[in-house]
Amino acid sequence: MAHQLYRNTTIGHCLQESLDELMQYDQLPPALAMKVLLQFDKAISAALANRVKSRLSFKAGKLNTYRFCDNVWTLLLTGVEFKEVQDVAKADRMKIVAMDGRAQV
Amino acid sequence: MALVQPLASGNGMTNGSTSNCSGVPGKAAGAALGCDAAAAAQQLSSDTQQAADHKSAAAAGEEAEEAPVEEEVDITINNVVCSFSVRCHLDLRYIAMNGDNVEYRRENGMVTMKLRKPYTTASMWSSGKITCTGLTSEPAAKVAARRVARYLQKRLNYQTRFCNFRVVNVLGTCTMPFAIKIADFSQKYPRLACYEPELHPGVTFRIKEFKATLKVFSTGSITVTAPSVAAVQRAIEHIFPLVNEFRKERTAADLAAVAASRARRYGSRDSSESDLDDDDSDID
Repeated sequence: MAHQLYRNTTIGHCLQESLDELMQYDQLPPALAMKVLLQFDKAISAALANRVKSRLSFKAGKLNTYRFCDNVWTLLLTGVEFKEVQDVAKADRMKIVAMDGRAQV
Repeated sequence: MALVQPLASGNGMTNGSTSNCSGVPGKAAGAALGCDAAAAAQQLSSDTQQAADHKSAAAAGEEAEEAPVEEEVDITINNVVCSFSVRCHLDLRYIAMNGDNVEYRRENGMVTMKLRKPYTTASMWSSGKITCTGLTSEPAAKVAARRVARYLQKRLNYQTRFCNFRVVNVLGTCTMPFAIKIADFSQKYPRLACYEPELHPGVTFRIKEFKATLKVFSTGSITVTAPSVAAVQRAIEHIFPLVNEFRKERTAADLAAVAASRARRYGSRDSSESDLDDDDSDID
């Protein structure tokens, strides 16, 4: 069972909003919506693991804080620079939430 | 004190610790250690026989010594461990979720918080007991402990009371300017020294008086674990004459090995690589 980390992403939110809309119009039972989200968790984990090939590296000026609780790492960085062949983006502050890829929920 | 063989490593921490060591209550003792070593060494280098006699003469005439020429031993404090209590129950889960720079692993049952300055790792238990490790001096330990307690008080709103602060353990290292014949050394003190070459390459020497445990290695390096920085210093002073008796002048291979280990510690790679070649050819 994949962890529900990816529900808090743009694509995850869109899916949840769509499911909420369908449930509102009684076109989708809530149990089925739960199943859809679980399937989404599995699908997105598999897709990121197998179907994504592009590489992006980043370097931060400073690691402000780190936290490790319940097998979840939360990192707060400042002065981040993302590089993909040519300089792509900069971010003043960045938050990383990372879970163990081999974790069983 | 002129330092011919600086043992402090490049970063600021150990530098601070060596100077702290001489500033510790035993400042005179620290200077005397240098003098005693120099006096004893000078006597021995000029006159190879009657080590014990010259040493006692040197100790007696220690006051009227000239400036130490070479052979001073620098004691580097590597690790100070302290323990204290904040006298209130700590909700580890709350600290883990809301604190900064914390790790909570349930299998250990404690929250680990790292401070950048002074660099230390604080382990907190739910009972309110906290242990700080990785410090380089006793005053730094007090500062770090208070900083941790203050963090709990200010950021996490605990009613903390800083109590029962004590330094539990101090680890110090020093290198003698000579190699040591540890087999003979361990045979002379069978009750105090324990040497099992198959288990560990050093002699474990315990000094009950200072509650210190020293590990003496054939290269001349000695590591000391004792309950305080002063005890570490006294332990080194105590063992110096004992070990001096079994000194062995360093061969070229030994010097190369020492230089290699120092260079490795300071991060330069070239000398260690070349020394690896040397060791093969200079086996006595």
